[in-house]
This record gives sequence, C-alpha cells and structure tokens, in this order.
Amino acid sequence: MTDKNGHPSFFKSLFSGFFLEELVFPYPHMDKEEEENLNLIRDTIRKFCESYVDSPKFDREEKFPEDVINGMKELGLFGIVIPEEYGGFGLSTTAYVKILEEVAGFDGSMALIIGAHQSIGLKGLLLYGTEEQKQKYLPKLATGEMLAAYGLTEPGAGSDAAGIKTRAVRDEKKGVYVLNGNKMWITNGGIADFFTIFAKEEIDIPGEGKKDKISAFIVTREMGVQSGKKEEKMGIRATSTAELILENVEVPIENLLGERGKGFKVAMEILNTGRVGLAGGNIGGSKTALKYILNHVKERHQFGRPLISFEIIREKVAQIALRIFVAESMVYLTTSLIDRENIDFSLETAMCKVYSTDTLLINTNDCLQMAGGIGYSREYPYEQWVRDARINPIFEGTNEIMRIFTALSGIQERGEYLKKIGKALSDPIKGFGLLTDYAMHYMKNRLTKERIPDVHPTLAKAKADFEEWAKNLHITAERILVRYGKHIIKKQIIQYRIADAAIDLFGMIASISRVDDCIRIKGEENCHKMITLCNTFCGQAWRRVRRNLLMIDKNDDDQLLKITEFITEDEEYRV
Amino acid sequence: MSKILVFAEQRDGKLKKVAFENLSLGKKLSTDLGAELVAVLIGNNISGLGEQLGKYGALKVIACQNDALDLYQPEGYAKILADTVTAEDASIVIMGATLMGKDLAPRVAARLDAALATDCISVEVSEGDLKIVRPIYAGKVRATIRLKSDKKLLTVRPNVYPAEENPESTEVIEVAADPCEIKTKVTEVMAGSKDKLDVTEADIIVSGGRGLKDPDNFHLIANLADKLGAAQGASRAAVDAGWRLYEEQVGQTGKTVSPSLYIAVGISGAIQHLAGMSSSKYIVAINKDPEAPIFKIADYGIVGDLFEVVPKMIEML
Amino acid sequence: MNIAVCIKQVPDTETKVRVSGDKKWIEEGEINFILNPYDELAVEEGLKIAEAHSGEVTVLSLGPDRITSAIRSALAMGANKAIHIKTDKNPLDPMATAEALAQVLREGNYDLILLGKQAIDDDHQQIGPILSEKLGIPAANVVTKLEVSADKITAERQIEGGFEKIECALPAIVTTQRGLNEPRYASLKGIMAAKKIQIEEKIVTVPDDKIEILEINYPPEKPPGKIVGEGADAVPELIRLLKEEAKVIS
Ligand SMILES: Cc1cc2nc3c(=O)[nH]c(=O)nc-3n(C[C@H](O)[C@H](O)[C@H](O)COP(=O)(O)OP(=O)(O)OC[C@H]3O[C@@H](n4cnc5c(N)ncnc54)[C@H](O)[C@@H]3O)c2cc1C
Ligand SMILES: Cc1cc2nc3c(=O)[nH]c(=O)nc-3n(C[C@H](O)[C@H](O)[C@H](O)COP(=O)(O)OP(=O)(O)OC[C@H]3O[C@@H](n4cnc5c(N)ncnc54)[C@H](O)[C@@H]3O)c2cc1C
Repeated sequence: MTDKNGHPSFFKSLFSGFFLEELVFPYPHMDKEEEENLNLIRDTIRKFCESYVDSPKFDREEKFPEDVINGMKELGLFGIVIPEEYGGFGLSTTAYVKILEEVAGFDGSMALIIGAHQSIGLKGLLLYGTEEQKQKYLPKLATGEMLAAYGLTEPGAGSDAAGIKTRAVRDEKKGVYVLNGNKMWITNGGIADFFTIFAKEEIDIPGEGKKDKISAFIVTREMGVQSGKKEEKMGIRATSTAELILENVEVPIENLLGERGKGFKVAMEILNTGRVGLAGGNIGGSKTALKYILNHVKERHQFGRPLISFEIIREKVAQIALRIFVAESMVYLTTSLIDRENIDFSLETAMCKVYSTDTLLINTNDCLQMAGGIGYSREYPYEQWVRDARINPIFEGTNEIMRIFTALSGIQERGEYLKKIGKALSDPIKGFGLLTDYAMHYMKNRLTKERIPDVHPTLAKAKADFEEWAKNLHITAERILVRYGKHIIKKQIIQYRIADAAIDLFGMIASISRVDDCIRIKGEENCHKMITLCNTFCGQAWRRVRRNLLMIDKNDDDQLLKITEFITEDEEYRV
Repeated sequence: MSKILVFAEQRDGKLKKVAFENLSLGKKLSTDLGAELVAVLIGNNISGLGEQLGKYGALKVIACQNDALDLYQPEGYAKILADTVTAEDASIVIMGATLMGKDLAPRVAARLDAALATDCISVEVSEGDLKIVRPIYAGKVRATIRLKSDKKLLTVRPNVYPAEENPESTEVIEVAADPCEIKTKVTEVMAGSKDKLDVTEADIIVSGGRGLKDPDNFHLIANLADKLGAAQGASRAAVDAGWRLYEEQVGQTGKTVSPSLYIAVGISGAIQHLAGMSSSKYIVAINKDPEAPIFKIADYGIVGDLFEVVPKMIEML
Repeated sequence: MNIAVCIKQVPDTETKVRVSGDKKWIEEGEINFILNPYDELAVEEGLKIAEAHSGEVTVLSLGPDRITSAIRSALAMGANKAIHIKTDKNPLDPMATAEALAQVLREGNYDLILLGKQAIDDDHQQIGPILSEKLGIPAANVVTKLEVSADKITAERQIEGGFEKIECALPAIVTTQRGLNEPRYASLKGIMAAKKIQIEEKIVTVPDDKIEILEINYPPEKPPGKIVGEGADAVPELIRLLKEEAKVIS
C-alpha cells in the first residue's frame, strides 16, 4: 500500500483490498489563483497558436519553424514547471498538464517539444539535481535558451531499458566521466543542448565486487554530443527525433545526476511523472478532433439527412465524448496526487497513459471514419491526427509494458501483504504487532460498503458496481498469486486482463468522485451531462471488468499460444 | 405640445438618407404622441437643405450655421444640438446610428443628463412611453428597453425605417450658432483607402466560383464588392484553377468567415465550401442551376445567369 | 506620461448567449468571460505609448468580483497598475457607468485616457464621448491611427467611406478601433508578474440607471431561404430584401 519511502498508493492498496479514501475523495480542485493564471495562459496559447501554428504545414514540411520555437520561448512555455527561484514559473503539475492539453489541441508536435523538454528532458534535474546543478542549468532551461532531451533508448535497448550499452568510465584524475555509445529515437535530439543521459559504469560494490550499474548524467551539447539525421516518421513529423552519438564525451563528475549506480531509478521516476503529461496532451488531441468532426457530421448530408441523424454516427460521437470525460477524470485526479507530494502515483500515471493514448487513437480513427473519403484526404486534418496519435502508445513505455507494470505491481502488493500475514501467523509473538496492525487496518479500510464514502444517490449504482468489482480485483489478484506463484511473471495475457480491469476501475472511481464533487458544489440540476457520462461509462466499464476477470479462468489462451507456435514454426501463414 | 426633434445629418451639404428615415419615424411617433416634429441641421453652407426635410414631415427646421462647422466638430455640434433641444424643450431626440451620430449622441446626452438608447431597431409608443428595441451581444439577443429621463435620446440604425414622404409646409429658421470652444478638432476628411479587406474581417463578402468561367470575369466580382464595400472571396475551384489567390479561398481548407452578408456567385455550394461560410448572417446565392446545394442554405437566391444578374446588381447599387 | 485605460470584462465572442429565466438578463453560468477585444487594443496602444514616452499605464474597470480576471489579463499584457471600481449597484446605463469612471479618472490626473470604441456585450458605444463631456477634455473616437506627442495627439477616426483627421491637446480621450494595432500576447512572465500587482479598490456610488430593461428576447427565427426570382429581373427585389428585410446593405 505504500512504496519503499512509505508513500501511500491508491491503486496498490486497492489491489490489496484497501480503499484509501483520502486519495480520491473529494475530487481535487485547483487553487483559485492558479486557475486564474491558467485561464490567462490558455488564452495566450490560443491566440498564439491561432496566429502562428500551422499544424498541417509543419507536418508537410516536417519542420517546426525556429521562429515559432522562439515565440514559445518568449511566452515562457519552456519554464512552466521550473520553480520561480530558478527563473521558471513554478506551476503545479495539474496546471502544466492542462497547458499541454491546450497546446496538443493545436499541434501534437508542439506539445511534444514542450513535453520532451519538461516532462522528461529536465525532470531528472528537478527531481535529483544538486543545488549547484540546478543553479547552473535551470535558469537557461526555463527561458528555453537551452532545450532539453531525455536519452535512455538505444538501438539494443528499448522496452528493456536496463539493457543499455552506453558506457561511462570514471576518470578520477581528470575529474570526468568518459561516455561512449549511441542513443536512439531521442525527441528534441537535433535541437536540444541539455541531455539527461543514462549509461552503465562499473561500480565496486562492497561484498559483491565489481558490477555494471546504470548512472544518470547531465550532458550538454558542447561536451561533444553529436546528432544523427532527423528521423523520417509517420507522425509528429515536425518534431526533431534523432540519434545521439556519444564519442569520448567528457562529462565532469559533478554532472552525475543522483547517486552513482542509481540511474535506473532516476530514469523510471522521470517517466513515472512524465507520462501523465502525455496523457493530458492526448486529451487535447481528442477534443480537437471531436470538435472538428461534429461540424462535419452536422453539415454533411446523405440519404437526404445530415450524418449526425444516423444512429451509428451518434453512437460514435457519444463514445468519443465518454472517453474524453474519463481520461480527464483520471488524469486530473492523478496530477493532483503528484502535486500533493509524498504519494506513490506510479500505477496511476501508467494507467492514465494507457487509457488516454489508446483512446486518442480510437477517437481520431473514428473521426476519420466518420469523415469518409475526405477523412483519408491529406487536405483534411483527420489523417494527420491519426498519424500523430499513433506514437503515443509506443513511447514513454509501451502500453504493453505499462499494463505489465500495472498488473505486476498490483499483484506483488497483494503478495507482500500475504507474506507479512504469513510471517505473523508463523511467529505469533513477534508478529503480534504486525497482525493487529493489519487487522486494525483491515477493519478500517477493508473494501466494505461503509468504507467508500457515500456518494450522491444518482451515482449509487455506479459506486456499488465499483465496490463489487474492486473487491473482485483484489480477490482475483490473490487467487492468481496462489495459483501461479512467481510464474505469474510469465502469464502476460492474464496480466493484460488484470491491467485492463484496473484501468476501468480507475476510470470509474475517478469519474464518480468528480461527478459527486460537481453535484455537491453546483447541485444535481447543473451536473446532468456529467452524471450521464459517468453512469454510462461505469455501466460499460464494470461489464468489461467482469469479462476480463472471468476470462482469467475461462479463456482460449492455450489455443491462441498454440496457433502462435505453429505459425512461427512455419514462418508464414500456412494452414 | 411636446416636441420630437430629429437631427438631420449632413456632410458636405448633402443630407444623409438616415435623416429622412428618422423623420419618417419621428412623424409616426409624433402622430402617436400628438407631438410636433422639428428637424435640426448643423453645419456650414446648409441653406436649401431645410426644404428637403419638409418633404419628410418636419414642421419646423432649425438650421444652425457657423463658419467653423464645415466639417463635423464634436463639441461644437454637441453644444449647438443640446442648446437647441433645451430651447425647444424637445422631449425626444432622434439621431442616426452613424459614425457621426454615435459620437454626437452620447455627448448631447451627457450635456442634457438624459438617457440615450443607441443603435435602435424598433421604436414604438406604448402606454404613452417609448418602447425601444436594440440588439445586444452582436445581435444574438435583443433588449426591449424604456428610457426613464424626461428627455429621451435615440440613435436609430440606418435602413431600419423606410424614408416615407409626408410633405409639410415647413418653416425654416436660420440661426447663427455659437459652437463654443472646439477642443476635438476635425481638420480634414479623407476618402477611405482602397486597402484590400481580408475576408475574415469583412462585414460583406462577395465570392466567385467556377461559374465565372474565366479569370478575367472576376472584374464582376470586384466591381460588385467595391459597390458594397465588401471583401472578395473565392471557391476552391477558382483558386485551384489559378484564377484567384489562396488567401481568398473560403471553405474548410480555406478561411472560415461569418460576415453579415455573403454573396456566392457561380458557386455550387459543396460541403467544403459551406463549412467555411454557413455561419454568415445572410447568404445570397446566384446560380443558374436551381438544384445547386447552395440554395439550401441561402436566404435569398436568384436562379439565373450570373453574367446578367451581377451587372444588373452593380448597376442598381 | 500618465495613461489610463478603461476596460470591461465581456462574454467570449463564441459564447452562446442564453436569456435568463426572468427574461431580464442573460444566463451568466456557463459563460467564458474575456477582456473586451476593443479594450485589448486600448491596452496595447497604452503600452506602446508608455514605452515610447516613458509613461505608466493604469487600467480601470468597473464591475463585480469576477472582473478581476479581465484586469489580470491587462496587467499580464504589461499594464503597471489597476483599479477595480466597486459600486453599490451594477449600472446597466452607460451614463451611470461613465459617471462612476469619471469620478475615479478625475483623481488620477491622466494625460491620456484610452478605451475600446464599444463593449461587445451591451454594444452601447457611449462611454468615450460621455467621458469627454464629463471631464471636459477632447475625445477622438473610433480611432484607427494615432500619433501622440508630448502635448497633443493626431488621430484618424473611421467614418463611412473614409476617415476624419483629428487633432487635440492633451489631456485627451481616445477610443480604439480594429486596425489601430495588434494586441500583444501576455507571456507567462507577464501573467505571473501581474499576480504580484495589488489591485487597488475604489468604492464609488453611481447614479440611478435611466435605462430600464423590460425584456431580453432572442431575435425572430431566420425564415427559410427563398428563391427571389429568375434572372436579372429578380435583382431589384433582391436588393430591396437586402435593404429592408435583412438590413445588411444601405
Ligand atoms: C518518435 C519517437 C520518439 C521517442 N523519444 C524518445 C526519447 O525522447 N527518449 C528516449 O529515451 N526514447 C525515446 N523513444 C524511444 C521509445 O521510448 C521506444 O521506442 C520504446 O520504449 C519502445 O522501445 P523499442 O522501440 O525498442 O521497442 P521494443 O522494446 O523492441 O518493443 C517492440 C514491441 O514489443 C513489445 N514488448 C517489448 N518487451 C516486451 C515484454 N517484456 N513483454 C511483452 N511485450 C514486450 C513492446 O510493447 C512493443 O510492442 C522514442 C521513440 C519514438 C518512435
Ligand atoms: C479535400 C478537399 C478540400 C476542399 N476544400 C475546399 C474549400 O476549402 N473551399 C471550397 O470552396 N471548396 C473546397 N473543396 C472543393 C469542393 O468540393 C468543390 O469542388 C468546390 O467548392 C467547387 O467550387 P465551385 O462551386 O466554384 O465549382 P462548381 O462545383 O463547379 O460549381 C460551379 C457552379 O457555378 C454555376 N454556374 C456555372 N455557370 C454559371 C453562370 N453562367 N451563371 C450562374 N451560375 C453558373 C454552376 O451551376 C455550378 O453550380 C475541397 C474539396 C476537397 C476534395
């Protein structure tokens, strides 16, 4: 229920059958002053983008014009999350993500340039940098004088980031690390001057001997970082994605970021927060596509009627709105967890990322479909939106890896608890404290109806469904743990189902909390749209959760895997 | 008897049409209220204009003349008009919602400490009082209002009330007016520059499509646009053919516009075109094909050959 | 140079305006409020003049609490000071509004007072000229070009089919029209800095409204389109309709 630092995690707890009410109720609000600022910032962004950001042109020319980047610098879009004492604006994660949402509604590449800079490029410095490092670099990063990039991926190490080969050799005499290796697919790779680079160094660990461990480094362009040519991509074409070539790059030892050998943790922590920015941006993309297609389906007539009068079109429109609503509910609940500090939000950000990026792809694709032939035309924005959307389930942790991570972390949490109970039972005297602790906790937080706060009666059914299926999730987690033991690691299809069930449950509780709050503040009569959205989603979601959980026991997985076996053996489709 | 006073706007010794329209409105109101209709002229070299005002129902015309008033001078006009209203003890003052009227009326209202309703589109007598309608929120809604001061000032939108002749034997009184100190000096009047108006900013747009057949024929569009003070637009067919520049293209992949008047000439009304202009307040379509989809969204359509229709429009405007 | 800019908060131009239940005003609930676009021109002009003549820009706005966000956006653009004018009642009559503004403006000793030519909500277009009379200083209204020197201004004001050139001494009032300038965007820096500026509050009593709103209504539904006629013969009728029914040309 808590991470190693003792920070509570809502979802890890849920996997163990505990509902940490205070993390999700009441639904968070932005500080009023910050909200006012945010409105002004959005206003400015809207005006700026309407005048200068020609997304189709940037896409066609595969270039994000330098003067527009300069304009973004002047606006201050590169210093949003940097504290004021370092020349930034010190806005909260919630405000930052809302800004990304606004920007992404105009252009995916633009949002990504900002995101690669702040969500991941300089995030390590913010999280782990020393005071000197911050003083030295943050002011320049805040103004955009330096753009940042995050260099983890390598030709041989993508999802398996721990497998990187880039070497760092410590030269105490010269006071430097010498870095050698190649980084692949680095966003802002051709335009950045500041890189957070991960490399392996040999560390002498007392009792263990010499071992290769990952360390993180702040590397700047003038230390000798070279960029390969800009990759030609399917989407977000205006961004500069490039290989980084590190050839005997000498990095001063003081540019070590975080502790020696703890670089993998740095890399993961950065992505844990960074992901939510991506999730927020994707909401903006969905909103823009929906607004655009609505116009078309109202205007376009077939069979003597506007397209919007046909039920299948109407259903598509509703589903898009639902997905946007749920993504919003999840993302802005999660950003508040980040802003509250000392909370473990790693599962929530992963789930936001999966949900928001998967649904952006579905949403843009549905919009393209509703547009018909013109959807396929390069003169309309639909196809670009689909292309731009496509990257999101791939980077910052593929959605498969995110699901595995979610399921395994959750199940492991359950395992830890069972282990503790087990210990306590086998050594009743020593374990007494633990056991009573657990029992107390269990009594207080156990997923019982009393424990989840009462919500407005219009949401009672949704809440009951959540309770039932959240309970089922943790029972299932326990069951498969008992069944598979450590072999659960290999059961990826089950993990996938667990993760999808968890994501739906997260969507449910985030929406319920949000709408409950809306009703409390504005009154039921002013929340009708939200109530309908929430109850509709919850209805869809618990059925999917049920199916996913039932399919853990009843499925065709073995046959499926058999098919893969003979198809791979034949090396082609031959039946 | 109470008096209704109409400010008869003139420039260069020429009366504005709105002066006659307002007299016609004033006439109606004076009948309903049993009031006397008086017109006020202000300027230099305005003799002779009084008689014209009589034709539209003014019983009395007060012509305030001064050498300093060749051009509109805000404070000068305001003082003279306010003084006249006081001297005549008029209870209603009607001005045009023109750029002069919009400048002058609030000044006069301030001097008289009277209430002013600007840009009115309907003025009626109801229970002995004026019931006034004026659009607000760019015309999205309309406010029906009442003025609570003894003297009520109005500026009325041009073209709302038709000018109707009501000949009266008019008494024209020429007054040597004292404009007092003029602080806001109008030194010169310049004709508008012919700077090209962008379609997105224009209040009226005339667009041409493939029906124009040849780039040279676009002078028809240009001439019509000139007559209306309109911007020129084009369909994509016209742009793709190289007849017009892309900056003029209206539509989904061109510009989105919402002028108060959009005239589509020789444009079929493909959905891509409609997407860019369907929010226009009024749409006029000129097309020889009665089945053309543009007629579905047009407020007014003429089925016919644009090469006959457009020249006739240019001639008549 | 001491410059005042009077600003108003208005609903966004894209707002769907809904009449309130009692038909006396509009529903404010879901409205997104913005700084009146014409006032944005005034703020921009004020800032430009202040930059050129080492001046200071104070924005003044009258209205309920929510208007602080409009004041903030003007400050975020770069205005130096702000006064929120609070009143005992919310005036709907521009004469009353102008009176309240005049009371505060008199205290400020401003060389130049700028405001938008009209607010896009009630569309009265009265405040500039009324202030001119109340303060006894000249006013150039609906201005598209402005030159300011140490003691006078030269302005071009839009009229039908052309411009009037205006000269007057300072102190003076100018109301701004599109074309005068391109308002700048507020930067994050400006927005954050604006937060630190204390908005001064002044409480003013306003005279009673002399305009009474009886009812707010939607305009009548657009009649279905019609074919006016065929060929050139239909032109006179078309022109008549445009003039008299649609009233979009004169
Ligand atoms: C446009 C773009 C920008 C990028 N920007 C950056 C950047 O700024 N910085 C940076 O460091 N990286 C960046 N990346 C790299 C990106 O994060 C990786 O591409 C991503 O992590 C996937 O790694 P991979 O490409 O090696 O694919 P692989 O790891 O080879 O994965 C291929 C497929 O196998 C699946 N898979 C892999 N492992 C498993 C497993 N254990 N179980 C089940 N399925 C598995 C994956 O989900 C995926 O579907 C970027 C990539 C792109 C395309
Ligand atoms: C991807 C894509 C994007 C597009 N984007 C746009 C866009 O942004 N804007 C746009 O406008 N179009 C756009 N189109 C094109 C659109 O589909 C139409 O092809 C185009 O609008 C047609 O232009 P038109 O009406 O001028 O030509 P036509 O459709 O050929 O119509 C010409 C009309 O003129 C009439 N006509 C001919 N002679 C006369 C005469 N003597 N007197 C009166 N009437 C006459 C005809 O009856 C006909 O209705 C796009 C199309 C695609 C596929």
